[in-house]
Amino acid sequence: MNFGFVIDNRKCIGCHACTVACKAEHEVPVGVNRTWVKYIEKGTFPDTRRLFSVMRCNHCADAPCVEICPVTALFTRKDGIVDFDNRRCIGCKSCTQACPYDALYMEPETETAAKCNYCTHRVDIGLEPACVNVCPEHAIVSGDMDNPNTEISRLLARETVSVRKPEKGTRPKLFYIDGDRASLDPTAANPDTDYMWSSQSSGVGHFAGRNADALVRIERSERISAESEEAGHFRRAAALRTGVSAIQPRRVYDAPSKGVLWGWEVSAYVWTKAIAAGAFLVPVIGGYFVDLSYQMKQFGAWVAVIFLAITGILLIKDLGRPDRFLYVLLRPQWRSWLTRGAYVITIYGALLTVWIVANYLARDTLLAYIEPVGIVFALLSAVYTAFLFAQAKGRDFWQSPVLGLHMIIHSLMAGFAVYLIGDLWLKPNLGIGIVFGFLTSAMIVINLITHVVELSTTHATEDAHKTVSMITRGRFSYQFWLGVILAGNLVPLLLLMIGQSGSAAISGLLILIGLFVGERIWVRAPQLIPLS
Amino acid sequence: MASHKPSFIESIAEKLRLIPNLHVGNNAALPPITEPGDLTDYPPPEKWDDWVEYEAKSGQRREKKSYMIVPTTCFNCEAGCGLLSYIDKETFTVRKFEGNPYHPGSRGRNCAKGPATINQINDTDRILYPLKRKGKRGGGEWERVTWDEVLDDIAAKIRTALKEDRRNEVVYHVGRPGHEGFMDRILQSWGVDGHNSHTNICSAGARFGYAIWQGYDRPSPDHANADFILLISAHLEAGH
Repeated sequence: MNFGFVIDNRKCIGCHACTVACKAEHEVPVGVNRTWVKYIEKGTFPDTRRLFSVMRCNHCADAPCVEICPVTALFTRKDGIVDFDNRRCIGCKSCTQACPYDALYMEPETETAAKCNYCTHRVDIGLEPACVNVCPEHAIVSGDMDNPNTEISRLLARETVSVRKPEKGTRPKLFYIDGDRASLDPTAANPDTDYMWSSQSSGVGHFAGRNADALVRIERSERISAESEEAGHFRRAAALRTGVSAIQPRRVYDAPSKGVLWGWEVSAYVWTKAIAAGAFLVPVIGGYFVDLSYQMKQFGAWVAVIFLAITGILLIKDLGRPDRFLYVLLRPQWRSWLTRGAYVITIYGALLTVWIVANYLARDTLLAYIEPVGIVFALLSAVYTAFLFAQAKGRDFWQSPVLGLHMIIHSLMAGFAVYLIGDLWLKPNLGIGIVFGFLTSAMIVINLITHVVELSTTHATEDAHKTVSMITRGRFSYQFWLGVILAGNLVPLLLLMIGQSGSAAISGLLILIGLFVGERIWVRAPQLIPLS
Repeated sequence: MASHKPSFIESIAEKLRLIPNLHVGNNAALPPITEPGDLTDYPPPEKWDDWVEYEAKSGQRREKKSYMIVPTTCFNCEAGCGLLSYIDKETFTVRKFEGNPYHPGSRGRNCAKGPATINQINDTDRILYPLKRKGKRGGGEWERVTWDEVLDDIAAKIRTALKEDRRNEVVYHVGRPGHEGFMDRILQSWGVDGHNSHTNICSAGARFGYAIWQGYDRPSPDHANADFILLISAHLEAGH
């Protein structure tokens, strides 16, 4: 048995009956949708057309949401339907980043993830999904695709069909007859044109903010529409200059944007985690090459354990359901890098604690056993987020193969920065100070090269390309060039080369600030690219 | 209906009560009304009096709910499509509306307005009982009165107006006139020319034409058996 959907665009009249029937069946709260209809207008007068596309979960055969979910709250049933269990969900929102189709949202009432589940509560007793039943045009067809006699199998055998984003390799099971590229590809009709709900970009549910009252939202939406007007103006001006027609498909109706679901907590935890890993890695690895005092290692272990604790607090704070944080460890889904990461961090934290105790008791043999294992887990702690972000298939920019290197370099930079600041109290001998200064400079140079590779290599997709231009030329350009490149890399490099006393601490501080700003951009920018 | 076979770690953690046990207390599943892999559109009518299905909101808990399924009519446009109301047998409230597969016009299909009827039922501004103005007109102050009171009051005023031959002072206003001629007969027997509704604007032209041509308000054409349909509008039923 393998259930799928066919949306027959020859029949759809864009009446939203499916949207409303779904809302009524599942009592979906205001502002979020499990299925919705996107309107696109295209053509030049008089040859214009409005096209409708029903959007929802694609019930992928290789569902990225199922793979990334740390607690099996999302799962693929034997009959091919991708369903969810909100009793298990911890509200980590990683599924919303993994789904390339924007199908998931955070249920405002429970702070857990939800989406179209093919009405499995109806399917289990032999009834069609509510949207299929209500559709006055019979434009939504459900059924078993393994049985050649079902209507859906006959349609699929006879008609040419298309799917959304086949390049993602998710093998979606929602097929469009007469699928239109301008409707199915979010980049074809940018949401920067004004349409109904286009200005509602502050998000709904989880991210709308409990204190964001109506006035704040209106102010935000006015700012956004001013920005989009400006963008439209530039486009028209560019069209006049280049002679290319400004008339491109435009969105005239769509569901409201879900906003940025991984907020400051996530970028902050990537940063604190880098410090926690680096502060241990630098002195322990260094200890194999030069004779470092135990005070230095002890300092590193304490910084690491404190920042790892902050990392844990931020991780829990970011959850929609912080009360369920233990589920990550106790209901583990091993394919998820969130689960693997949680175990890595926990083990790393335990190793740090044992190290501190062993050091206090002066058990040198024990320390010698712990340190190599500690190095492995510190490195894993630093790098696992890159694998997690890579599992977030919806965000093309995070699919960069250099992201792992980026995370390791950042943690080493953070580690050195901690010691440059720590210099004020630790007073290591001059030789070690010089070596650390030199190694930090080397890290900065490698980091700059990593950034160049991340931002300048040819980007496979339009979305990744757009994210890069947002960082280098768009809304993040000041933060990136001034905050990350100048303040976080070039100035510290210069200060380290001058080598004045006290300048080491300042450069350490600047490096940490630069890393923080950088992680914020890297986490935030890709989430501003619309997925549907 | 366990959605998930717990892993070793999860089973231990559930047994130690570190986390809630999600793998107990699953009661017997409802028997499907179709063969496996087959789906049908509506519950069979012989089960409408006592229909049990899973509550969507209960998710994987698969909570069972008993309903009376009562046919009704969508009143959100002049087409008047069929609806089924799912009445919860415990609370006697309507849970949802779906199409009625046995309605000769709509045959189980609806537009967005059909299932949206639940919003009118649950509208927080819905007036659930008669209210009588107290204080000044426009003061916005109302008091609850009984149906007997309000019917006696209004009937007495209409009666007085009729007796004193002030027929033009009586106006009957209704949102959507679903009475199909019944109220017109009453008003005519009173000699009152005071019927007013949204239809005075919405489809008055067409309906006036029908009335003087056929003597009937809104005929329902036999679309299914027509050989030729001349449609001069976007909407088959309301003719907008």
